[in-house]
Amino acid sequence: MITMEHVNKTYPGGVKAADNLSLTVPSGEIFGFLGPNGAGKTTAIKMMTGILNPDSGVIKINGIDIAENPLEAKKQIGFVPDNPNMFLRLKGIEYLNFMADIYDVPLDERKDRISDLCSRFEMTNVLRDSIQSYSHGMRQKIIIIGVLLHQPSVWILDEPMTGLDPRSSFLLKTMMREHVDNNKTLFFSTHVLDVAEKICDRIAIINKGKILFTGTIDEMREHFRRNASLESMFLELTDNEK
Amino acid sequence: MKNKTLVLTRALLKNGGGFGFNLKNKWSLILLIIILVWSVPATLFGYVQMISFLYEGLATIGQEGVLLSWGLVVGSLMVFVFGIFHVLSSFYFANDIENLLPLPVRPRQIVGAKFLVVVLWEYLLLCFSFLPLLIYYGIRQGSGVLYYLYGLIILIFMPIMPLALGALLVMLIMRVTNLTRYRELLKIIGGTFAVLLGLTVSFSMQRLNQITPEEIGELLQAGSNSLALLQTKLFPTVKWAVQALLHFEIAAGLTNLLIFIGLSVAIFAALLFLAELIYFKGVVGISESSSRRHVVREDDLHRLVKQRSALTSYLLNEIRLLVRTPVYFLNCVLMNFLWPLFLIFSFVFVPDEGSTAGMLASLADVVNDPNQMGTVLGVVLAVLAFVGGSNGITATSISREGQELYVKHYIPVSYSKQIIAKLLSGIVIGYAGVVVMIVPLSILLKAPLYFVAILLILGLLPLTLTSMAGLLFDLFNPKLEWDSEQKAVKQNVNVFYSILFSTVIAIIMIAVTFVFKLSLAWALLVLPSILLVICLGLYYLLRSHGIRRFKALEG
Repeated sequence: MITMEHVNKTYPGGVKAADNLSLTVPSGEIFGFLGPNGAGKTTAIKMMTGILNPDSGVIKINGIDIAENPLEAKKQIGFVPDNPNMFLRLKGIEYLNFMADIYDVPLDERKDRISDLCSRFEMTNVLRDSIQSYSHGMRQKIIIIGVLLHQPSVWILDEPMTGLDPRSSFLLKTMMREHVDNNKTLFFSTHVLDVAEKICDRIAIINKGKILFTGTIDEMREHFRRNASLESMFLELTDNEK
Repeated sequence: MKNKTLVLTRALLKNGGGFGFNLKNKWSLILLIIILVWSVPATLFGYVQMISFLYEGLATIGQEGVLLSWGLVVGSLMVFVFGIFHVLSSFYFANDIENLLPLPVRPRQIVGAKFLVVVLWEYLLLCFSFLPLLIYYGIRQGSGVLYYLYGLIILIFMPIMPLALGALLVMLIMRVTNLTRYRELLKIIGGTFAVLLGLTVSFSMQRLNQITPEEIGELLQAGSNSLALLQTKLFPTVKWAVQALLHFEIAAGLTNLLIFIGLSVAIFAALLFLAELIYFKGVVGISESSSRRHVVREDDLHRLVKQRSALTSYLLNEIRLLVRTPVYFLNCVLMNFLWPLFLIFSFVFVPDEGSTAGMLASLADVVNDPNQMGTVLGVVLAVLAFVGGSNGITATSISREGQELYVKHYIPVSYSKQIIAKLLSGIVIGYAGVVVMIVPLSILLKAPLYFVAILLILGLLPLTLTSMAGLLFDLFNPKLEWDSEQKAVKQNVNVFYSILFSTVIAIIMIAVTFVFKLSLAWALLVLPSILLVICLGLYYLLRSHGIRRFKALEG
């Protein structure tokens, strides 16, 4: 479970990226975080994962305060950033060993998981090549595998579907569903309404650092119909599909 | 229509993110002031002392002009050697090339623009080395405005010839190494080869142009700065510059100045001509990486999966990046091993073999004389401090993270552990350089084993010290905004800070050793104590402010 209580963040330039954000992401549901570009999605995710420190407010991961006990909180999380262009000078297998070392995954377990995840994502035969030689989608896949090695109970994914081929995209969605079916937490951001509609059990909509709505997809449609001021944003979200 | 080369130069300069100065940032400014106050007076004072010492000595035999030619020769050699690093990094290993290749510009325009950017960097180098000498000479001679005008023109054209020669060498080598599919590896090998070749060329020029005692005798009798020209044999292109400065008052001075300018322009033109022919062939596809796509079977996989501690894994990751990224390898790793080569080369390539043997013999006497070992220890610690400070491994270790710094914030590894891993990366690679330097020299000079052991153990201290200082500089003034790896290490003022800082440490070591004429026993007590106290101070700063600063850095 992820909870954010009254979280604020203002960037040095004066842009308020989180305005009294309060949000609860329960376990057992796929939770989508929706908003147009620049709405504050990535800032919220960065604060949840310990990359950014909020100006005020409390963030807890499975009940652990990330400001007070950062290492324990971070171990709960598996985070897939929106840009997979990292660790490019490492070979695939070196990156996976690195991640497993960092997250203290015992040798036997990591052997099994690397073997299993790599064959599911069809990455086994490129493990000895440098990540630099991977395509965008392959980079995305190796990052996802690395993040899942320590079997985190909380998944946080920033725009995870971008660049994945249909097959991998389908696989990821299946894995996301399996994860929440084991009563674990899954939080992912997207600016594409279509993706959210297809896989989310619950969504939150953010714009200009404020949460505008939290609820199920059906509730959202109803909400938009009644609330004319949100209509333009709804249009913007649907526009992004094209 | 605007000149495309100049348009491109401006774009490259603006896109470079500067040298890493950020005076709006409080910490950046404080750091700049601390460094200036700490190092400039000491180094400038030491430098002027040295210049005036040389000047006085030369003036007694009417040869003070040698000082100018010496400055020009050393300056040109420096530009040539460092220029090879710069040219490799900026012409071949910079990521911005991929953005330039699709533009409708000619190879000579890209090379011209990149060349001009590198030239600007070389001015920085020359302002610290040649300019004080030029001014000192002018003041002592009471020269008029014309001397300074000539001096300024020469300073402006001075880097062009050595740099163009270095660039020609690099372009030819990279043309050849870009032929196969193992480009990443060959890039590193080709780069290393170019640097080594450059060193060999500059050292063998000394040897080829041996000066016989008879020649010196004749020239000495001729008087008035006749020796100055002899010096220029070491780097022939500066001959005309020396002539122009020595005879600025007469027409010959002007003629020589014009020849110097003309030659500089001609060599630059030759470079552009060659660039048109071979630059693209050497650079196209240079960022491609090969992959073998071998089949990995289940038992392979079990062999490939390994377990290490988080600290070891982090450290290994840092070292892999340093060794595998050509620009980092060249500037941070190779540098460590070049200093020892520099030292050894300078023994091997002194003007004639007789004096090489003589020099080695007298050095061996010094190293084996218990009364002088204190001094040797002081000098070695000073050299190691300087070498450790100039590799820039820790001084760029935060900057190298660039836009990926956020990864270091979300992984569950404490900031203190990360700082230790980064320190260790500097110490481990630096120490490899120390071993490579001390062991062959000890064998060459037949140093006693216990003394070698002392040097190897105590050698860790200056390295630890300079690594900590470098990391502190980079934590407080990191250069995170870059689009090309070379900007993180080449155009990073923290490396410069680190060199200045460690120069002062080296000066302290030398000063204490010589002023108190330390015996080995005293040297063993005093020198490590000084280093240890500074280390502890820096460690305290890292533990308290460094960690807090790392945590607060937003990538």
